[in-house]
Amino acid sequence: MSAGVAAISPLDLRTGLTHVFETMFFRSVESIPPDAGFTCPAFLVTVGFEGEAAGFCELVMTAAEAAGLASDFLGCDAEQQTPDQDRVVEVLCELGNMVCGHILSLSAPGSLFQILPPSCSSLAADSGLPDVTWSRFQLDDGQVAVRIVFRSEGTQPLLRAI
Amino acid sequence: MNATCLHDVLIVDDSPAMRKFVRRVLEISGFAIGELNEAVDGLDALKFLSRRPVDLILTDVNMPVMGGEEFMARVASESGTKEIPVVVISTDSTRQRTGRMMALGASGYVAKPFSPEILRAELERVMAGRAL
Repeated sequence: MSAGVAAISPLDLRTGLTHVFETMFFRSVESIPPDAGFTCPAFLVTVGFEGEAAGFCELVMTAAEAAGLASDFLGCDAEQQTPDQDRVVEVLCELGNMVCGHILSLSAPGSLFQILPPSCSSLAADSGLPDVTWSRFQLDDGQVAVRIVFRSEGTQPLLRAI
Repeated sequence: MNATCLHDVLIVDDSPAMRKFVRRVLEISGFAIGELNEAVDGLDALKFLSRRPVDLILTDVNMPVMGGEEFMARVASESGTKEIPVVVISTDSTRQRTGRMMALGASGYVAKPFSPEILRAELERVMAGRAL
């Protein structure tokens, strides 16, 4: 593991995620059990990071929540069309960037790292994601699951759902 | 700065969603905005600044082609731009990153996530310092 990062605590994960959703998207965030059902996972966002902290952050988002987040973030009012898929992907990538960077900044404020360009892909219904190793949260219109994996620790996530 | 103290702003960010968000937050924050302009990375921003000056630059750190650190260094070193205050808007709020950007010449730093009130307060602090 990187010298500058001892671990990402569940508290830092929840705090970072809550800050991002409440401040930038005006969403409340509630922790849910890791074995709770995850209804219609639709998008996977992946954000790599390098430097004193190296690894990646991933988010899984339901379709309904993703569309609502994009609409609010871009300032679409009720009369405007909901954002198309490209706009939703742009917002989800920015969401991933913020969640990853903010949680790392909370957990390792003395480290120097670089956030890599995010990517977003659609998830098949039988993808198996998220599994029980992800931390899961209930938002207003759907769910989000998050994990951060440090590359030097192999592929096992350091975080467990709370 | 124009005669009515409205500030012409250049937003530098590779994310179109974030550029739109910053534009919207600026508009609702109450900060005195003149023209809002956008660039997709540091190089695009330098090209824009070679054609026309602005009163304030808001820049991301992690961008392709030319990132925020190189852009900041170029702005601070060139005679036509070194007097323009630069405020960094980044998800990376570690002491190291903040220190590096301020050492390169940034006038302010806003960590994401941020509220309109936080953005406005930082921009007004920076512009007030310039007016002294």
